[in-house]
Amino acid sequence: MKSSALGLALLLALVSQLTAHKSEDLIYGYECRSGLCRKVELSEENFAQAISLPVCRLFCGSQIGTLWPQPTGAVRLDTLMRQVDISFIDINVNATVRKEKLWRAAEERWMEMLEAKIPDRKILARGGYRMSVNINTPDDLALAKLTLETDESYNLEIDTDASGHVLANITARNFFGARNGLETLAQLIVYDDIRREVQVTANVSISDAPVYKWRGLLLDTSRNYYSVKSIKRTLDGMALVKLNTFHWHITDSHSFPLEVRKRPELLKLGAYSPRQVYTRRDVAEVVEYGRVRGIRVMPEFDAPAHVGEGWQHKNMTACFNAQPWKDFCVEPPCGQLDPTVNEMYDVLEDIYETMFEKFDPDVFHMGGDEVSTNCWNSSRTIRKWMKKQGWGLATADFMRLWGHFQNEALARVDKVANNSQTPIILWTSGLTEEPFIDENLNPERYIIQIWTTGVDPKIKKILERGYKIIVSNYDALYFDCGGAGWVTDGNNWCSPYIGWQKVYDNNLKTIAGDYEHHVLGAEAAIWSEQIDEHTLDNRFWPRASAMAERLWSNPSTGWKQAESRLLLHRERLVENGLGAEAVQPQWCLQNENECPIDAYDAQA
Amino acid sequence: MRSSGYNRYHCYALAICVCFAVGAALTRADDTDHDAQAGSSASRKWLCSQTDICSPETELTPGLQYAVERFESQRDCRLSCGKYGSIWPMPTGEAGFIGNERVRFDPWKVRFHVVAPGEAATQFLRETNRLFVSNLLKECTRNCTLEGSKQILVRATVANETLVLDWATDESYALVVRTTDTATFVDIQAPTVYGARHAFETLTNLVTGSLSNGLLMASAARITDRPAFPHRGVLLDTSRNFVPLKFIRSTLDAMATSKMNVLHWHVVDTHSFPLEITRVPEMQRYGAYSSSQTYSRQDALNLVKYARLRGIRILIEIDGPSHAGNGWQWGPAAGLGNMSVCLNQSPWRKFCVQPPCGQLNPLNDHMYAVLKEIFEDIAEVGAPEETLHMGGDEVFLPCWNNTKEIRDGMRAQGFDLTEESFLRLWSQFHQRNLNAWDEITERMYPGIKEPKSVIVWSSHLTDPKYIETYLPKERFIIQTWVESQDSLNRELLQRGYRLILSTKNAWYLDHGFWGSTSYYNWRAVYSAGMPATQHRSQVLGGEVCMWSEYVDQNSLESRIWPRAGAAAERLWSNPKSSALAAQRRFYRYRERLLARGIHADAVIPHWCVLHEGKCL
Repeated sequence: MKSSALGLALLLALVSQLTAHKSEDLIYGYECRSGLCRKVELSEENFAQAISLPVCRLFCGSQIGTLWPQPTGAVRLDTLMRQVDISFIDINVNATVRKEKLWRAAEERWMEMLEAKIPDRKILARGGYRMSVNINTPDDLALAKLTLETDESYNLEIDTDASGHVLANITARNFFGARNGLETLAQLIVYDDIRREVQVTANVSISDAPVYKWRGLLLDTSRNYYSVKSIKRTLDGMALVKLNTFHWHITDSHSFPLEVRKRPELLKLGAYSPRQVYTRRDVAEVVEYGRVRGIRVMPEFDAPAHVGEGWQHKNMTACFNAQPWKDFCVEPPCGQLDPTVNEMYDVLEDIYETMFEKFDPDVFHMGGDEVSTNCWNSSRTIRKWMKKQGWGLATADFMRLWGHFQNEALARVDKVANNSQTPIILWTSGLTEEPFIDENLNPERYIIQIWTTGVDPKIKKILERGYKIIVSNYDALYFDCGGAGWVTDGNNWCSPYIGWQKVYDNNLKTIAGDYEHHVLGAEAAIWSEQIDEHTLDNRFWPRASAMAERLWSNPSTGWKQAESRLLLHRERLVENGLGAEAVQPQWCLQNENECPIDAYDAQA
Repeated sequence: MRSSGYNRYHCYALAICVCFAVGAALTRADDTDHDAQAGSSASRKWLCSQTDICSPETELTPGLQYAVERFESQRDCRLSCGKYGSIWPMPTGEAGFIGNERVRFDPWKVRFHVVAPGEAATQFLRETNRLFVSNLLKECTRNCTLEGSKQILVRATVANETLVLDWATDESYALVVRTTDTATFVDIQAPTVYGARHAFETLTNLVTGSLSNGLLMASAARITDRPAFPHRGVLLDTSRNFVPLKFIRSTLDAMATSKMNVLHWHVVDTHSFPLEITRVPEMQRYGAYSSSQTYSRQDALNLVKYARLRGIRILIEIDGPSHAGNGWQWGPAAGLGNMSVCLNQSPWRKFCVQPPCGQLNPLNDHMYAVLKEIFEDIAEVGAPEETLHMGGDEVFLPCWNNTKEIRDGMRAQGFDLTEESFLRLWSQFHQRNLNAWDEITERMYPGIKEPKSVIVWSSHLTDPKYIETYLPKERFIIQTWVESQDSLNRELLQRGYRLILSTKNAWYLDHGFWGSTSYYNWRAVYSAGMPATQHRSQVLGGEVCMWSEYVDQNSLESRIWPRAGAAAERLWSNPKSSALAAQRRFYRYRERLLARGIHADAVIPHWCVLHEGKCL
């Protein structure tokens, strides 16, 4: 009885496989007509000419094919596709460099990306040409580390030799540029579902370099916890669109999930549970995973506000978990470091030490936002200390206290960083306003991360003082906006939801005006009050891709010109395992240019 | 005043910390470093306050009264803290009771005894037991096997052998849990198997994982319960974007968790036709986005079965005459003429409200013949008692009016081209399909005596001014999708129509991500009122709607859940109390969804879940 049931199941599996082979499975293919890919019913007559959607889009009506982000240099894509035999692809890097683990990991990832394009290996057509990928970078044995000086540009040439063998040559100054070239190459390799084969664009020349050097995503892992797996998936998505900075807002008042070598109690008391933690090994793994993908993983230790859980029993915080919280902070639970306790700086030093040891940051983030003077004012010991210094209790005095904290904390950073003068990022706050900014923050040392709206006049005041800035204007780049409020009724403070179009059109030049050269780049943020790993992917993607193109290419055109390419790019994200949000009905992907409301206005 | 209270609080916390530290030190001796953390949090007991707040003993709020029981964890505390414990949706019966004692047990050792007339009902309950155990296993935090587990003996008695699930089904149940020295006895009494399955669902809400092995259950409880409304639904659109079967099943799982009972499957629309119609294979062949983005007949049959076991009907909608297009384009080639008009026409603004355009051709008899064949397939897929949703929304008259074939045809049939004529044509479309549906039902299920009522959306045609001319109230149930302040519901109720409510400005879950729409938080979903009128019996219930222009499997679950759960409580319990009073149960409910594999949206930082009453 059992075995016969099994036999039947096998038979059924065979039958379904056979039906999957029938060519009549496919009803539609595509043809390029006056610059648009048109869906056509397949028939005996047109079967030979019809092409699949990704192939059509590579050449039809676009100089840059389906590349995302679009290259900034010269692009030549000839209408020539070659079938490649995926088992005969070899990647050649200068012999000495090749041995490095970094290169091996990058190659492995690249091959996995190609595999992901094939929906069913069993029905893949056999044959195809061999392909060689040759990577030429100076034979530099120094450890590949992404910094603000790294040249991320590359050149990619694809050609065929007399025997039809496909040759892809990538030239770059270093690993990071070469890796970007590989990423572009992967986007020129597509699966043709009509012929069931992998094809490569065989006659190509691209030169490319980013416009902005800081292209980041911020993830807050304190308000809600994220598994290492989901963080790695985010890094995978970033690599696809050449984003290069993962800003890890690892702690906050809500929880302290980071293991600090000399202070195990921070994690023990501060993590939501013993399982919701990042051990030092986890951190090392994430940092290396990012490096392979061309991404710096930068830690933030936010202080003096936004601390709380983990610091229990130390008498080093003020107003921790104070109620009613509205009087002491912007959201529960409240908590701020007490800048008057000297031992507190020793704990800070130990946190910084772990961060420098495990992240090896080229730029370090010290937080510094949303300090509440009420909170400090509620502590008798702080008031007493201030009186002893001969200070009053006015706002200016508390700002002075904050400045004191920042200087002391910076000294500890410099101590663990061996005085390497690591650039420091701070959020815009009371401290970045006149006159306190001039009193406390050296423009040579500090980079300011803007989180006001893009039109806030404060931005200009910061820029004209010579600070470099990173833009995270909340009206375009806070991806947690929209959705329910949680401490208020109605919707959350920065509602409504920000569509990808607004993200795409968020032009940094408009924000910075004459000071564009002071803009390092931008970051999109996910603050996690109402997001955790169950909804992470659809919050970041594909909106982070929209920002990625703005930062890499800074196109003079707007979202409308990018729309149909974005729809196809979104499928690429999904293919690579990211749960990207749907931005339109699939019909609009299959029927190019039929959905925009003004598509036909020009003709009318 | 404030600062002194604050200081007192700190002293109190410190005093408790001393014993806390000692406790941690004691556990550390025989544990690994990692486990010591769990040990230290385990040694912290939780207490339930008079105000329904669970707090660890280290964080008690001065001035609040706490019950004497000490619970091993927050979830343990929540099982019986507050009148409704962790039960979602809240039971409606009087004199409910959940005890503070716990019994520790191994889910594999629960024994079932089912008493039901008839083999089918007995079989159903056996399956219910299996699903119940698998849900229990998902609550396990550690190893769930437990040596020396207390015996749990569940006896479920169902009075009626029927498996019919419709608006008349009695879904009530009574559940009693009591514990003696030897065993824990669970007694479930219900008129139907569906009531019994709800009782099992409630029973899972009396259980939580333990910090050591096994599970914890309230050792004594008494609950009687019945839903306020018989139609508690989720609409799922699988046409704008395709939704893989796995995610339809996960939607059903979450609905079962919430005691919702209707999946309104908006399976086709103008955009795509993914459903296989065995009588007309062209529909899917031409209409699916791709050959892999389809639902076979067998898939649909399996889904209906899957849903039934979870107490859920699948109500299929074949929307028409508008919202139909792709899948219908093969008519001319097959010699059947244009069955749809303005299909995929551009610029779309001239022919419809959103691209792609398409409307059925109400003057083509072949179209009616094909539609009837589709209905026959649907009738075979569904349960005998199941009815059909005929759509009928957003007919765009200019589509017909801009089509020469329609204009000519209408004139030939003696219509002029006034709005009134178009409405008449449209209503004839529904009437003719209703006749076809009746004919199919009579032939296929001769046992069913009454003709079945069908459902249509509110539209131009349901305007109170002329609805009675076009759609007789005996045969058409109206699903309204107007805003809460609209008078339509009241006016239709007064005219004797039965309604299903999908209040647009609370229960349209796609809002807030496009155009000028705004997002409705779970409290707004919860607070959407049901009409309190003397016509209450005409209100069958409601549905939250997941239109899929901007979602597919990647954001479907987080968009629907946990918000649909808020509607579930509105429809099951119709509580007078506010969302605020429900919040802690709601957070626990969201965690239950996560445990069952549903990627429900996070509504609040985890810190606020752990620190009850501190984020208000």
